[in-house]
Amino acid sequence: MKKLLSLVLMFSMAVFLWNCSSTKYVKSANSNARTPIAENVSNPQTSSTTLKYPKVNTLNENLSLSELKEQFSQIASDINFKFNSYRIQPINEYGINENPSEILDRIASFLKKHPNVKLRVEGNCDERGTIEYNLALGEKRAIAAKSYLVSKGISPDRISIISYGKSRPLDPAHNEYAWAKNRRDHFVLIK
Amino acid sequence: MKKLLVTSLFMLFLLFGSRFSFGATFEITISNPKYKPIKVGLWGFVKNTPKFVSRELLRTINRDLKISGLFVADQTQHFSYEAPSSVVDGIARLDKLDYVIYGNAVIEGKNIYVNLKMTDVLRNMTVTDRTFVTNRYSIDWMADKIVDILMGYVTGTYGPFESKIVFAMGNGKTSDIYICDFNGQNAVRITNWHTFNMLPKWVDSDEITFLSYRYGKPAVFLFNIFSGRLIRLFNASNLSIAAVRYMNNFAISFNRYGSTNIYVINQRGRVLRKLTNNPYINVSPSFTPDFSKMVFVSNRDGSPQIYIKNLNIISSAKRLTFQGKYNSSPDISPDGKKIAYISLENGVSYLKIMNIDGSNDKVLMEGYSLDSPSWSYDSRYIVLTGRIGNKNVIYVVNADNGHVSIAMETWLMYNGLSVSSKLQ
Repeated sequence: MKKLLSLVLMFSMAVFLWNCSSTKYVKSANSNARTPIAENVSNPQTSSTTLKYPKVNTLNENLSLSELKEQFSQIASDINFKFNSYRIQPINEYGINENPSEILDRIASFLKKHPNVKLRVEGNCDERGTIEYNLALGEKRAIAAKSYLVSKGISPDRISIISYGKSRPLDPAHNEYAWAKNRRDHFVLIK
Repeated sequence: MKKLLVTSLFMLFLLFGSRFSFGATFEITISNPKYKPIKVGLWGFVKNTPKFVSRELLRTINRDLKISGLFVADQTQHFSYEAPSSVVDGIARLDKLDYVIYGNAVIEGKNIYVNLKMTDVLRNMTVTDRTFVTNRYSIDWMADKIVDILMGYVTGTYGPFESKIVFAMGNGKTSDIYICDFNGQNAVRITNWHTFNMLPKWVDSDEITFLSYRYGKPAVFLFNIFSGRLIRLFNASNLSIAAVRYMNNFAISFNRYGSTNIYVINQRGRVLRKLTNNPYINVSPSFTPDFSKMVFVSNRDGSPQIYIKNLNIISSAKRLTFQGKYNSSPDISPDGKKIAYISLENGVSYLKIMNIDGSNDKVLMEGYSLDSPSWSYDSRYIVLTGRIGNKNVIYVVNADNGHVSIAMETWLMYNGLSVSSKLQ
């Protein structure tokens, strides 16, 4: 009798534990993920991200990186800076007439359209000044662009920065026009 | 009265006489030899010397003498080691030379025996008379030693040629680390990573650090040039700039929370101490030999300027440069007395030196794209990179007299350099 009672108790405990287990839920969520009705599954992480950084258009998510890069090159270009400055401000000197904010706005809307791509901002300087200081200055320029994009709603996790200082000049000439071109942030799309 | 007059005349003679009588013969203006170089007869190593040894020895000695900015060589005579000193000195005196180097070299097996005589013509003294043993790979090093001995005798401070320059050179897409002699000869590439490697710094007699983008993100590596041992020293930041020696550890500038400060890290890359605490850019640390003071560059006052900080007491940094809007890349001389740095005005860059307290600030040379000044171990020469037209060059500048020599030139770009201590 005692044995039977203990067996019944053990069975009921096992049934209770099986009902409490999260394995069943995870399993079903995973299996659903592979089916076309995956969007019905609520994912708390995704919803919080959506609140912060709203998905605008997910139609082009199947585009390859090279296709995205092609699109990106049409809307984005380098932004330029004044000598020894890392402020994002309109420039009209030495053949450069641009408003970097407009370029960054276009980049921000592109990133919003394509939430799966990431961006690398490469800070560069002209040949004047010393290597070590220019490396730090290039980084400040990259940080300035990143901060602007983040202020426009792009997740900071999607933007990495790097500084090349004066080691990668766009124009190797030694005059004000070349130097103005080389004081720049270059944007590279990455997966 | 007569006695008084005679005594006065005698005293006057004692005071000035000796100067007048010997001054004209022995006065050597070390401070400005640009206008009065010391004449050295380079009269040996042709007779009784194998051709390749002769060629290499004479080429390097000649080059070193020129780079020193102190000497001018005369190669009109040839004497072997056995030639009597009295004859050699006699001819040298007629030719109005100050010193003569002569001798020969003999090969025995793998060894080369260099028999060297160096004489002081004016004092009629032998500076050195000895035999050195070397091999075919170290003939240039032997020549460097000969010039260092001569400089040591003439100036009282041993010459700087027994050291190496480590530098980075690239084409805008890749950059590698190279090592060459102090005079720019015998450059050897030590990295071949098809990526960007820059800002090499000597941190020991056999170790260098440099910044590399080998793994995408910039990282500082520690490399033993003799054993080839490579350690990734630090990569915990989006921006880390080359490390210099700080006691038994390293001082390194890197970005943390958006501002670039100077930190002390150990060999495992662990941060031990923060040397600057400022939200702007703080880079290029250089230390006095006792590590009590640090000079560095900061833009905390709006433009890059040079500051000094006492590390033994809690104190704020003191600004040293006030002229111009761009002063950067400071390097403290090994004797701890002077700071060499780069100043930029209207597109022209200047190599300047000042005392450690900021006094006696003066321009040593002017040029384009001057960068990375580094002192030689004798605190007399500054090596730096620059540009002449479309060519990039490594300059060697005599800090005493401003004599400028070109040790190397290339179409490629230099990305930093550093001079070693005296190597064995």
